[in-house]
Amino acid sequence: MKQAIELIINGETYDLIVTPNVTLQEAIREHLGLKGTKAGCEMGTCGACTVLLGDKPILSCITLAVECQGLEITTIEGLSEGPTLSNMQKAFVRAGAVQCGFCTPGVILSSTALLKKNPQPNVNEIKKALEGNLCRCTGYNSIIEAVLDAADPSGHLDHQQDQEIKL
Amino acid sequence: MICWPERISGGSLDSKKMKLSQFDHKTPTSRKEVVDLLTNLGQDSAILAGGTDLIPNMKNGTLMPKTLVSLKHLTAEKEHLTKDGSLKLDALSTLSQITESPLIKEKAPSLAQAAFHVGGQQIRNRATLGGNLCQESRCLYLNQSHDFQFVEACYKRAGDCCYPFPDGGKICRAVFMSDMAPVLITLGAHLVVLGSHGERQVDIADFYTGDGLKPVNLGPTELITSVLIPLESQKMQCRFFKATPRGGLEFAMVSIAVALTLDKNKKKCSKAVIAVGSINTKPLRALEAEKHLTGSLLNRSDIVEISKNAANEIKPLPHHGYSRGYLKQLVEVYIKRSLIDIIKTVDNKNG
Repeated sequence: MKQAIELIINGETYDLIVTPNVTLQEAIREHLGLKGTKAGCEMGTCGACTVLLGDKPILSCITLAVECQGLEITTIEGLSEGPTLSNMQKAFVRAGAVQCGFCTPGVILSSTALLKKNPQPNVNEIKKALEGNLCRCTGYNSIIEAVLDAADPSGHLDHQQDQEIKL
Repeated sequence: MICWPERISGGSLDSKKMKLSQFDHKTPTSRKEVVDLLTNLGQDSAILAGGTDLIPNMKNGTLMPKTLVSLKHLTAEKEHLTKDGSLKLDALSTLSQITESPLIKEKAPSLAQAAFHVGGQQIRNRATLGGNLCQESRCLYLNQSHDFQFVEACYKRAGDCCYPFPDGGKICRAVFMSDMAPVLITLGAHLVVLGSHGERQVDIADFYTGDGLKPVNLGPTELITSVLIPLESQKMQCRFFKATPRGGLEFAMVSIAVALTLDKNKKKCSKAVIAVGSINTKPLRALEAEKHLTGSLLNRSDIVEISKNAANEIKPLPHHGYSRGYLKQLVEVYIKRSLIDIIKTVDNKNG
């Protein structure tokens, strides 16, 4: 049975008619055409489909669209304002924390949610917050640098030194 | 008999996509209404809370309910202490809430630890306590997409074979993977279950059947509404360790929960509970080790022997590629670490 639902995505209200078996990821990507949300494993393992529900990251591939009726969702498209990137996105560009880019939307959303909750995370806290986002290019080091950079763009925290190995 | 899939790459790209098949979606507004719906719908329905276990299992075809009864309109009660001092947790609390709650961190720290180690951030934000306790059991051959499945259905999928244990009798030996269950067992928790015959309380130790086909002792019309942790357990020294190969976003190889009641200022142990999860069709207890600990003074040399004995008595099912011997070794190491950690804490307090 089809249901009419309302999703508030990036501040805009969308009316959709979907069957209950449509996942949030399918609704966002295929019904609404917001292709920034990636479909990776589609089994809740890789984190490529991460979106923010309120300010919490969730996996849209294992969440039903009908379960999100009336809820506020942020996708990667909602972070930038027109051509101006968000601080986190800028930090990812600066750190070169993108290789193939498939995991990047999910990673940036998870990182954005982390900084909202914990504005000055340490490396372990960043690793824990990003444990649900797999990067198969294994670019984790530059991703962690980008998040540290976004948390403290002036670089006053000597996190670089923490990671250095003394010869 | 082993049948190999005919061809993995056959078919169009689209047919391999993980689409959910059609089902009906109900949204009751009270727990009573949930039970009524389940009673009317019968066997082919399932409860949808966070969906982090149910939806992947529906995608890979392990579960195929015709109707999902969604709990999204039910509100979770905040965790609190009841009149008799028990810590009451709503089954709908998400694992993130359990991780972050100051009350739970104070009264049942090992439970907060266990919740912290489930899945990833995104999973913990959706997954609920009740759902974690009732999760589907897992097996390397079972929770896979069809492309990676063997052709013949196994016992769990209503077939007539078992791939990991071909000569093991006609039973399913899928492993029960909850991290919260062993902790709640050590804390002597009770589950409040609502069903068509009203409410009942179950000791969590009796909740797991040990049957891979139906791991939990929950009727088709029942749901867990809350979890009670008694007052005396809140004073226990409790630890939780989870062994994983990667350290995040994983099911455990072995998870260990230990809870000891210690005399004040002394190291004498008056009650000990050790539960091991993710190692068999239900969480196991190390009863001999518990007996050994009870009434004895904690000291490091005994602990080496106790953890060795515990590993001897626990019977692991080799699962997900880990051998029996390796799992036993993990049990030994993690029980030892838990007990040494408790000794350290007690020493610090006394010192």
